[in-house]
Amino acid sequence: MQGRGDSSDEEIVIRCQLGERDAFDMLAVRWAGPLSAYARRMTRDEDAARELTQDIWLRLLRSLPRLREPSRFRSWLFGIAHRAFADTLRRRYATTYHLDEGMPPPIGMAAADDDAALHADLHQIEQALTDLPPVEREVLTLFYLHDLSIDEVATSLSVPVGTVKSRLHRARRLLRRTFDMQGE
Amino acid sequence: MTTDTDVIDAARRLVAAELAPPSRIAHGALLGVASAMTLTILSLLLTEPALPARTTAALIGLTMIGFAWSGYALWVLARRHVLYGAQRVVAGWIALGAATVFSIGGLAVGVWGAHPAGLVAGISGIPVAAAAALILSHARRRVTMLADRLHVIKTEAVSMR
Repeated sequence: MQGRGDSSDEEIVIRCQLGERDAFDMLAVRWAGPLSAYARRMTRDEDAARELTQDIWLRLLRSLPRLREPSRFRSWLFGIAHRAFADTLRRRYATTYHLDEGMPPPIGMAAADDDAALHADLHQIEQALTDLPPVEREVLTLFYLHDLSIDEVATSLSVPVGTVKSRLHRARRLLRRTFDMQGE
Repeated sequence: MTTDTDVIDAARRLVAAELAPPSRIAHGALLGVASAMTLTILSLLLTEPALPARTTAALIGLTMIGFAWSGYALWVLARRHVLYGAQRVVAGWIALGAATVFSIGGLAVGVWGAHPAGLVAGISGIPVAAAAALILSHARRRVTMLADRLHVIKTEAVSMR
C-alpha cells in the first residue's frame, strides 16, 4: 500500500512502535479504507463489516508492539484480519468450523481458461465475489483487490504457498462459473 | 452509505480511544500500589510473631486480594492497553524508581527502625527492582533498534529522491 503518501508502511509502523501519536493517524488514514473494504467483502453485511473492522483495529493496536518485521506489515495485517473474520464465523455459527478445513466441494465444470473471467471490470468482480464461499472470496480479495503476492497471502492465511495457488485456481473457476451464469 | 471519510474517522476515533493515556496511567498506578501493599502485608504476615488466628487469616486474605489486583493490572497492561516503545521506557523507569524506593525504604525501616517486617519487605522488593531494570533495559534496546532502523529507512528514501 505504498505510494499513498511519502512514508512507507514500514516507516509508519516503526514510528507507531516507537509511540509517535501522529504515525497512528497516518496508519488510520492509509488502512481504514482497505480494512473496511475487506470486511465488507467478507461479511457481505454493513453492520457485521463495521463490527469486524473494529475488531481488526483493536487486534492491530494491541499486537503492533510485538510485530518483529515491520517490512512485512501487509501480510501480518491481513493475517490479523483473517483471524478476526474466522473468529466471527465461529461465533456466528457456534461450531468448530475452520476456514482451512471448511472447503466447499469443488463445483464440476468444464476446464477453461481460468483467467478469462478476471478480464471483467472491477464492479462485476465485486458483485461476483459476494456469491463465492468465504475461503475463495478471501483468497481472491487478498490477491486481486489488495494486491498481496502469493507469498503474502500464504503468510496472512497461515497456509502453504501451494494451498494458496490451489485455492486461487478453484476460486477463479468458481468466479468464471458465476460469470457464466450471469451471462446466461 | 459509508464513505471513505466515515471509515477513516471511525478508525481515528477507535485509535484515539485505544491509545488514551488515562486508563493506562490508572492501571499502571493500580499495579504499583497493589504490588507495594501486597509485599508490605506479606512482610507483616511473615515477620509478626504470634498473630491471632483471625488476624493471620485476614492478612492472608488481603495478600490474596493484592495479588489478584496486581495480576489484573498486569493483564490489562499486557493485553488490553499495550505500551509502545517510548511508553515502555517511561514505564520501566517508573517501575525501577518505585521498586528501588520501596526496597530502600523497607530496608531502612528494618535496619534502623528494628522492624523485621521492613527488612523482609525491603529484601522482597529487590527482585522486583531487578525485574524492572531488566524490562527497562529491554525497552531501551528495542527503542534504539527501532530508531536505528527508522534512520536507515529515511536515509534510503532521501538518497533515492
